[in-house]
Amino acid sequence: MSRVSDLSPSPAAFERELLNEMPVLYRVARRLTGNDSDAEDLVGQVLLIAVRSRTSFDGRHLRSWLVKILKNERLGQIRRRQSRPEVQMEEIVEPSDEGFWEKIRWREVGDRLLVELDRLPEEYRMAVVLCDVEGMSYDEACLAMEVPVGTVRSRLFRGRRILRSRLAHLVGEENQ
Amino acid sequence: MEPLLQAAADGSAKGLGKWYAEKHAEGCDRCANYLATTKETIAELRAAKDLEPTPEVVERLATGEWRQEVTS
Repeated sequence: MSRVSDLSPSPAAFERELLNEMPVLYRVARRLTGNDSDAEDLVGQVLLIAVRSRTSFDGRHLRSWLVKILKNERLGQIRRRQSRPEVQMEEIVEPSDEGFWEKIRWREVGDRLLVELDRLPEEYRMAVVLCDVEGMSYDEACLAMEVPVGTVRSRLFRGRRILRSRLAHLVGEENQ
Repeated sequence: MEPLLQAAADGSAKGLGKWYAEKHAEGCDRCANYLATTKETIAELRAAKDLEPTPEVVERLATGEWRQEVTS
């Protein structure tokens, strides 16, 4: 089934493109794994798999293809290591005070936003990282996540909603 | 309304959906606030490049096992 498409890059070009994508892969891996060492191992594994299965790459959407490999490797990693349990979904509470966002000083919230991003359930975190942090389109993200575009939208929606809710709690606590 | 506002905030809403979300927000303080803060959140996330690999990590990854397979 796998074959080299006419669009497939030459080995040298493919190697260059892999190197170009490495920082993105590392950032996504780091967000998913939560530590430098696992992220490095994961990216190293992804690059190795990518080289070995280059003939199955159709020459389009390299980033999505690589992130898909990363996602699948990560799932295998979780299964193998019996990784940490996911943070349980919490009740989403929308703030009653609609003016509270004005009280947020965004520069200070920026760091907290990233902490809360790391606490999102992994499937939501993946959607937010790919679409919001890395700026991938919904179509690229759905190829990478191997889910329908509607699922990407829904995970992204829920992820942002949780972030918003948690930041609202943070502001509420600071104002008490 | 919330999904439509999020789509307007991230730029994925097109045509009538985009027009409706923005028009509605013009006359609704709650939705205007939601749209503005969601845009701000996405902008903050987009600017988040706090997890860049160190030069040592880049070096190790760039010369890893995969590279040997490419050159062999």
